[in-house]
Amino acid sequence: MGKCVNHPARDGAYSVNKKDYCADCRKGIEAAAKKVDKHVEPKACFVWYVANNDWQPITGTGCAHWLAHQRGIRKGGANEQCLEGYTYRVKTLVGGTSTVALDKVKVNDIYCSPSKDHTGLVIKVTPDAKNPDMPKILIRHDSSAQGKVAENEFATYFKGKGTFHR
Amino acid sequence: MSGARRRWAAIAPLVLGALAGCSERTPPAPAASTAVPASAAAAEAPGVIARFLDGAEIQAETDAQRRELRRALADLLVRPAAELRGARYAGGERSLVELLNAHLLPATPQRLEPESFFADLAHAPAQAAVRAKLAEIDKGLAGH
Repeated sequence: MGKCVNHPARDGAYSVNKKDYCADCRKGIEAAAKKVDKHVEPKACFVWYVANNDWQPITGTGCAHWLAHQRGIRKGGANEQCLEGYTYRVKTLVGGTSTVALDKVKVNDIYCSPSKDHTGLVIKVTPDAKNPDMPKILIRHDSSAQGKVAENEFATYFKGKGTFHR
Repeated sequence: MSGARRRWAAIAPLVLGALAGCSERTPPAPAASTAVPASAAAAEAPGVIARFLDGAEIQAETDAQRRELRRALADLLVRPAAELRGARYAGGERSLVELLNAHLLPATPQRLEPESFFADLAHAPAQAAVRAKLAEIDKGLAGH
């Protein structure tokens, strides 16, 4: 194990995402993870190093972070990835993806709210014979409003508004 | 003297000093709000609030959350710090600082802390950053 990435004079005592951290950083990481909001999943890596031995929970709702873990998305630079290297910004997450028309949406596509401030994962698509352009879409998402990872209908909970990405 | 007048009196020497080289002096902000002349924003270095808000991504799931974030930011422009310290949001679950941390993701790793947040509140860059973020939220709400 090498030196701590935050304190180059200290020996590494903990390694995650190919980076080494000293014993003090490990304590800071564990303490910060305990302060992460209850709805955020996973919690242990939703922390960032602010400065001067100060580790804190990452701010925001954690919706993109949960989805990035589900889909294995590691886009963006160091200021856009959790401790384990997964993307936590919505705009970074959907950046570079193609928008998918409603009638072409498939399981594992990414839902994004109209103002790009919330995201979720398509887990079920049920065709509607009466209205083939409007399938029934079920979205799983890390829901700060419901306090858990929840499953909700696109047409009702999300008011049928937003975009899908692949 | 109102809270707004006291805040302006406290920062007036800084603002007017920064403007001393200008040929035209900007009048003081109206006493009815905590607003600071826009030109003063450029004269002061950004504090903790401007650093947090500038480039921060808004993260919110429902219109109720967006409106609550908007209410908190709007309060920053009109309510005195003494009131804001005790204010509760999100159905009483969060303080103002907790609400901002819960829905805003700054460009670089940082987290708002009450002490430094309220000390920075009346500064021009903070007020300008709050107004900019309010405009961004309004644009987002219009699309929902």
